[in-house]
Amino acid sequence: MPSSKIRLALVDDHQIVIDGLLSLLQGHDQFEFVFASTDPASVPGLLADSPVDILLTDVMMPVLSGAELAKLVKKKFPEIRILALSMNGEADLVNEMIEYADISGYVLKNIGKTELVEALTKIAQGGIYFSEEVLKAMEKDGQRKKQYEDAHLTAREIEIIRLIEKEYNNKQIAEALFISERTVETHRKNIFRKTGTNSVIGLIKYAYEHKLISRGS
Amino acid sequence: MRDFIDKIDKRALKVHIYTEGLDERLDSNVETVLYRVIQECVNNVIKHSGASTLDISITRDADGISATVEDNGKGFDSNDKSKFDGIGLKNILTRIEYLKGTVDFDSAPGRGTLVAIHVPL
Repeated sequence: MPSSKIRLALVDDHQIVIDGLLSLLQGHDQFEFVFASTDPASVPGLLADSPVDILLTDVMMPVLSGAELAKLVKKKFPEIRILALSMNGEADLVNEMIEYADISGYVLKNIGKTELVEALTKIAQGGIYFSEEVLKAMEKDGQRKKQYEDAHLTAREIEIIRLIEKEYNNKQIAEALFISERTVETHRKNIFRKTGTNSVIGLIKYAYEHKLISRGS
Repeated sequence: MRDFIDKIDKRALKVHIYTEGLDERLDSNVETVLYRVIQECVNNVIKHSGASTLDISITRDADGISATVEDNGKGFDSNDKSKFDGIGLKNILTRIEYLKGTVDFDSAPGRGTLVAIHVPL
């Protein structure tokens, strides 16, 4: 008899997470665990030998990230559905998984038993499932992008914000970009107006929040 | 000025325009010169830059009037003085100099162009 159970595979670089999920789903006979692995690189090979319906994958793993693994799996086994499991519901990560790997769902690791079963069931039926927190993060991200679009910062303005953040004064910015101080001053005014800020600190905060600059860059 | 921008708005070029402190009319001489210069800048963007977006801002404050016209097109080498031998750019320079103002051309191939104009009042 062909298995009517939902076949699952699990990959996470932490064995304890795998153990936790296995025990979480114990007693739910509609699921069948085909294999679990702590090594994402081994997963495509394992899937070739033992087909599954849903792959649950961690997102942040060494060697091969969840997004890369999901991409690989989708390419080789397009029929396998992917549920991402992560500690981190940051919109950038979620978007990367959706855009590049066409995942079916994304849940956080603080997920409870009922929610996990619901997510797996929905995905097995061809649906999608995203944790409430993940949806919220994505919504916030959408608003941020919209606001950024409203601000219409030009490439040059973003360049200048980055120099302001490095504590360059107008004269130094003018020298660095081969423009006159007067022009830097005009840019400054435009930047403050567009971002709705009125101090350097406020601007830097805006720039971090909108990811115009990143720490360490 | 807006009328003129409205005319180009229909094209494939996305234009953002911002003005501040322009409620009162300017000295008619300054107004005409600025209008012509910005028109020339915008024409350059349309004709030469291949840009998809154009940002224009005109603000008036205690220092005078600042106008910037920035595009995301292909740019040109603004250090190459021969580029300024054409009528267009030279015209911009002489017109603004006549108002005792300054013009900054900030551009490099592949990076878009920014023209920043400042006219004291």
